[in-house]
Amino acid sequence: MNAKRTSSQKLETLIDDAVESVMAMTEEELRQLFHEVDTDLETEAAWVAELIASKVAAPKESLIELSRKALNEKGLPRSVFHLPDTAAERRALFDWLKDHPGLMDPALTMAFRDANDLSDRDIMGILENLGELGLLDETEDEE
Amino acid sequence: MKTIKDDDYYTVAEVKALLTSLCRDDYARLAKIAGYRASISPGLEAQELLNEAVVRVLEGVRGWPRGIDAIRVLDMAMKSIVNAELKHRKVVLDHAKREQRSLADSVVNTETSPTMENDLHAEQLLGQIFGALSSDPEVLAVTMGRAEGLKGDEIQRQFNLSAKQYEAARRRYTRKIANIIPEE
Repeated sequence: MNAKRTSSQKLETLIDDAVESVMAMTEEELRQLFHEVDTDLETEAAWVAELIASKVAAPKESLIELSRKALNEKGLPRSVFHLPDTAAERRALFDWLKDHPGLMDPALTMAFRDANDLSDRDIMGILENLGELGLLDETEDEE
Repeated sequence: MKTIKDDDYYTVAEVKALLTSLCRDDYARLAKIAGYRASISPGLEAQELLNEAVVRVLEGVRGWPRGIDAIRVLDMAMKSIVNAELKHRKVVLDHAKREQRSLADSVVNTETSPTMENDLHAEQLLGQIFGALSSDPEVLAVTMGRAEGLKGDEIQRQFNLSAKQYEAARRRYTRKIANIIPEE
């Protein structure tokens, strides 16, 4: 039997569950959640984006640039990689990488999550960056 | 034994890049979560709380372990700020009560401790949550059981739910709980 819990502890457990629920929600479910309290997803996202932007200012370097720099500092050899020839194949490889978060740092997967609007050129650039960072070994050619 | 090295945490530059690379839906999730966390501490606003959490993460006061999701890190930071705030309030109230007692130079009723005062607010919110679920007794049972820290089988036993009833109610609970937690 559990020890007697205070009301604050009880509330915290329910809030923990609500947080997990929000983290797992789809865009549609999130929209509905905000709609029920008379606000909308865009408005709520905007104040958080603004708050973070005001604290962070513009980052001097992107995550890729930072990773590249770290690899250079460690003196690791440059990776050799081959990208597929066609844009469709490159997009398929990109989607495959995106759908296998275990292959990449979750932070990178997170950054590419909203990638539906990326152009072929964007995808090529991202794959080149990933290849340069050693994330595209020859084994990926099979996919 | 694994020792924690600086390499295990993102650098400040990486933290900045990560925070600014979040997508719109994640920003919206953070807004919601900040509202929930702030609701525990009366008078605390979601923006104020999230602002403090972001500052702590950016300044490295709160380390961000590599591979952990941004929302998870900021949520943990907000949770810890709220808990510290409640403890601080308890200390202040304790002190005020001691002062009061010494001024009156007599023993006053000490039955209402500051912890209880913090709990009064939580109790009111719990009342709102349970009240909002009164039309669905099975979800109410799961919610009350979760609040008591009971496991699934304990909730089933205590509230006399079959495994099927419990599973269905737990799924409804997961959908409803995010809607009914009052925000600041």
